[in-house]
Amino acid sequence: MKITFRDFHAGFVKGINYLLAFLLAVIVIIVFSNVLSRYLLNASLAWSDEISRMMFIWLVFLGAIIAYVNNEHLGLDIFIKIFPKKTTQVFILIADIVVFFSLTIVFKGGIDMTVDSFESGWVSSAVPIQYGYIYLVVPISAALMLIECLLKFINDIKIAVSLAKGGA
Amino acid sequence: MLTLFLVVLFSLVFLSVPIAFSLIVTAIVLMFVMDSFSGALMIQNMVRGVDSFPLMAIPFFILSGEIMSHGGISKRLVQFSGSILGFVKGGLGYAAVLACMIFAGVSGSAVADTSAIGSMVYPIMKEKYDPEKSAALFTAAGCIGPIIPPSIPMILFGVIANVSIVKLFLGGIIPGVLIGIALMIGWYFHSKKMNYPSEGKFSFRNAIKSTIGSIWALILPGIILGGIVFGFFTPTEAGVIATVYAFFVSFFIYRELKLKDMPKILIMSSRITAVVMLVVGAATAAGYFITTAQIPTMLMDTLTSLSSGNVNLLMIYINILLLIVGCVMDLTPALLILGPMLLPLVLKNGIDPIYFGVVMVVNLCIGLLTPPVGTVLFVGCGISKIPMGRLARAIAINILIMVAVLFLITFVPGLITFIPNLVKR
Repeated sequence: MKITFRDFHAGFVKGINYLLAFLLAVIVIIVFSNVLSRYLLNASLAWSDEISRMMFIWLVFLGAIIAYVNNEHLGLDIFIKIFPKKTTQVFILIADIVVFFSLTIVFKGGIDMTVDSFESGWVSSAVPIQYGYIYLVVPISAALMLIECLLKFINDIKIAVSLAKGGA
Repeated sequence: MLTLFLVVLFSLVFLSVPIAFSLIVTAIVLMFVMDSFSGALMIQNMVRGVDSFPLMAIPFFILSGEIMSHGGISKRLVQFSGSILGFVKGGLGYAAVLACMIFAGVSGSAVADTSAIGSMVYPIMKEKYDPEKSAALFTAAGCIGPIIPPSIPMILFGVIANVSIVKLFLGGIIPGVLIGIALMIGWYFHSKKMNYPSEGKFSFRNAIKSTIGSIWALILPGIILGGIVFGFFTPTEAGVIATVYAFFVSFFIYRELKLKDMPKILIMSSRITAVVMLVVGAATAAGYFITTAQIPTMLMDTLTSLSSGNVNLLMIYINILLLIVGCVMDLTPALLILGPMLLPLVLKNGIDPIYFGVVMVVNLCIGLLTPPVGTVLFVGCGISKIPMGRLARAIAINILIMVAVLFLITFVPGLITFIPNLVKR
């Protein structure tokens, strides 16, 4: 059986979705265990705060990819929609390029920050985890969103072409 | 610099670039203009914005709300409200508002409140009352969600303004109840004019029965608020307790939640969280450079000279500005972009930041109902299948009622500060 790109993409989205569900469930369990242990065992879990915050950062940046795929990021499309369809499509293409540009800077900055943290060996206080592992999610997220952005751009160009043909 | 910042940010937003990315590009432009470009510094600030234990309350309260609407808790709240208010003419309308108010005590988001209660009450209400007015009522009442504690926007404000989230929560109680009562008064005149039927005589037995049936849901607001106020747990921990509690009640007591629904609920909550938090991260990054560029000072000078030191006048200007922004911008970005810019001005004029935070949240909650961009209005349209234009017309009177309450709390700050001032911490 041939695996198409579409299948691969759907599998990728599903995989990240389950990773998100897993992360959130674990965060809930960690924070709740801390409350329980404080009241039942009279001892706070020093690592719970930091570990849960690290997982939260991963959750946010990985979730951002899925939100981008589903077009769920907060934004306004009412202003460009008052124009004729073809003009709207041009605006959408410009917006794609702007997002692509900002993602390349985020990617580059993310790489720099990750490398810096690993080189300095910066370790968080309560758990022996290097900060580099936290920043690592930023370039990963930006790289995957760059790919998604490119796919969206190709799709938007196709729509623009068909609009141009249909209108001519 | 102020002009450049506003032009860049708003032209990108109008171009339909998502707000988080618009903020990132704005930060990049500001860095270039100040000749201090550093991608790493931007990312460091972005991650710093997300890396916050108080903000982790957001996914917890989103998750608890999702579990409660899937697990039969919101259904029981509606039954309970119906059993005690159904005997009045147009009683289901009051019941809808009451159910929204109680749900607001366990959920922190207007979208969650509107969809959880609206999807339960609307099918019954539309059979007996005018469908458009019914939808307009539950949609407006859902906006009480983030006003009565817990509240996601107030958590955000507490973090950006570095003020007590607990006090903000407490400050929202009276305004939230006032809006609920005001909406009920509006519904009273409407149902009197239309001569709506009641749901039959008040039955003490039914009321007791439904109270017992929904007791697990009814005590949760008390647990959350009491626990936070008396210092048993932080707002974030309250969120996790609400989540575990909602899961326990829906799964073991009501037995309406299925384990196979959980991945879907977790994924949905994670995605909503990521959308909100990416804006938080981007706004923190942009905010760092905005402050470095001294933009708040410039805005402060402009607004100060306009209001010539009169605090009431200043609050009127700010309220009008926020109402306009609220029409086109969602609550979260409006709060995160304008909050840090207005705060220095507010503090300089000796205005209590707790009071200001509550006014700002109530104001921007009204913005959730106003077209063209009204997130909660869209939810109301989705549930009722009424086109946006018609629902917007039906809801206009409710918006006016809420604006009236907004100005009441603006000019009588005691309504906000009374309860928080009772608490020492």
